[in-house]
Amino acid sequence: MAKALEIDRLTVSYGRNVVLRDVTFSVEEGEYLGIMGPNGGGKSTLLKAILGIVKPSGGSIKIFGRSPGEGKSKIGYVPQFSDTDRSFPISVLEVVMTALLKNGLHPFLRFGEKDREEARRALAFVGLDGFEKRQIEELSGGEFQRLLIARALASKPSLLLLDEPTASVDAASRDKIYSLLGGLSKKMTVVMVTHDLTAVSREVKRLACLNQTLVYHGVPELSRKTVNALYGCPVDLIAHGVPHRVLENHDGGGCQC
Amino acid sequence: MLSMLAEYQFLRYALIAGLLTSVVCGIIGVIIVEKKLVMLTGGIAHTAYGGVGLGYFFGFEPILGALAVSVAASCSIGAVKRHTGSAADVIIAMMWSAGMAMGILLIALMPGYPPDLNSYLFGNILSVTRTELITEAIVCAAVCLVVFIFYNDWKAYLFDSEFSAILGLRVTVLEYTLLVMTALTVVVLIRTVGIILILALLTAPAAAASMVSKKMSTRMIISVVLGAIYCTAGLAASYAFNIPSGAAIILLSVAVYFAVYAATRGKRANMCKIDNK
Repeated sequence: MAKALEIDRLTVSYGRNVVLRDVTFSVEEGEYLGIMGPNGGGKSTLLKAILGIVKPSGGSIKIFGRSPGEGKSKIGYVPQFSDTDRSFPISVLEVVMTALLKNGLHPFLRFGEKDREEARRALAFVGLDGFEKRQIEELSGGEFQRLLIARALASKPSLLLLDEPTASVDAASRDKIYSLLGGLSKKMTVVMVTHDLTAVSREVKRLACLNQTLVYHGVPELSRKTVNALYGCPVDLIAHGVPHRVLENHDGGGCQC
Repeated sequence: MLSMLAEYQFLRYALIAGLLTSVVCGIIGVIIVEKKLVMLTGGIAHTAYGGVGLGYFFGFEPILGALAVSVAASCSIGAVKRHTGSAADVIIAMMWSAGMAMGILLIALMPGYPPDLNSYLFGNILSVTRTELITEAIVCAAVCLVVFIFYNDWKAYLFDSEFSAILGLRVTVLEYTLLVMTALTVVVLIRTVGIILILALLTAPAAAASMVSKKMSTRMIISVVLGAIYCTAGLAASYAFNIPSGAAIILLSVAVYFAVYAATRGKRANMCKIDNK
């Protein structure tokens, strides 16, 4: 199968601060990959490098065989919730239609019925039909997160990149988002940065663990060694709200602290 | 008042200047309030004083000096912000003071009697000249056209510039265009309310509008109308009671802001309650 994403010895540094060192892995077309790691482990930086926002200081990234500059038109990006201004005066439908504004500038553009139809379809897909006229500040956290997914889908991506899509939503919304992504992963490649170990155990098909370097890449089973390399100490695990089951299933030892 | 308008040209000029001001102010005000560029605008305005000093020192029209310096200042602040990210407010603060200092220095070094600078610092809408009026009209038309023609691009850029940049929207062009438009707006406002009072006239109408409407285009229209009311009423008060026009306009706009705040407070508290349920 073709590769959706090939990352080869990627190194990114901000000034003297190395954020990612020598990261190599690839994502098959149609794969559903979860990326985990501690805060500051370089997860968001990896996404930004893939999107071409951050320039790598070494190594290469290929998106469907092309450079980030050329390949990014195939990417649908769902940014972190907190990066977006939720009080901005814009309606739900308008947010989705911003995804139709590609390359260059668009003088005298008035969105037509076809554009609206397309945006409505993306909204219906994430279960936000009937919300189109609302202003975004009237949405709940979970609804807003799904709106961001709808916007990414409206840009017709082949690769969906999500940065912590369940970080600030309640449990019910989280389940909704996972079932949405599960459906999407049958149609396109999905790469999701997450803190959520339940997602890792239940949802994603492959897992990459980042802590400056690539600690683990493979099927989503966490060994105690990997988790320790990621987070340091098991006490830290409790603070992160990790269900014990994930570890116990694997090596039977579990985390009793 | 109407008969006065027919009789005195300076009053007609002042009224036109006030209306032109409120149009640019309403449109750009909404944008800078949403994009949180208020302090940057303050920096640009004060840097413009250096341009006024340059004009007096080298003997050209001070408002042109203000125009050149504020455009240069806004572009360099933009470049600094792009490359350093977080340190922009330090740079803004330094340019804010350095611009004022440069103006003071140049005017002190000027041979002969120092000119009256109050009209630049605090505005004097009653002394607007024909040339200034034409400049204001051109700036006003340019700002309106640029915002209107690229309205959808602006909206996308203002809401989430990172996402739009990934899609290939020319956000760098939009960003610098916005900075230049802000600088131009500042220059228009210098005559109306003066360098020191600019911030309130830019933010008060937009902030009041944001409390009554959730739509960007409606906010722009409301804040243009509010600006027009403030400028006209301030001008009338200034003429009738012989008080400084800039101060009258600013105090009125801030007073209305707080009135709207108080009037919508109950309503907004109710909205919060519903949200929490």
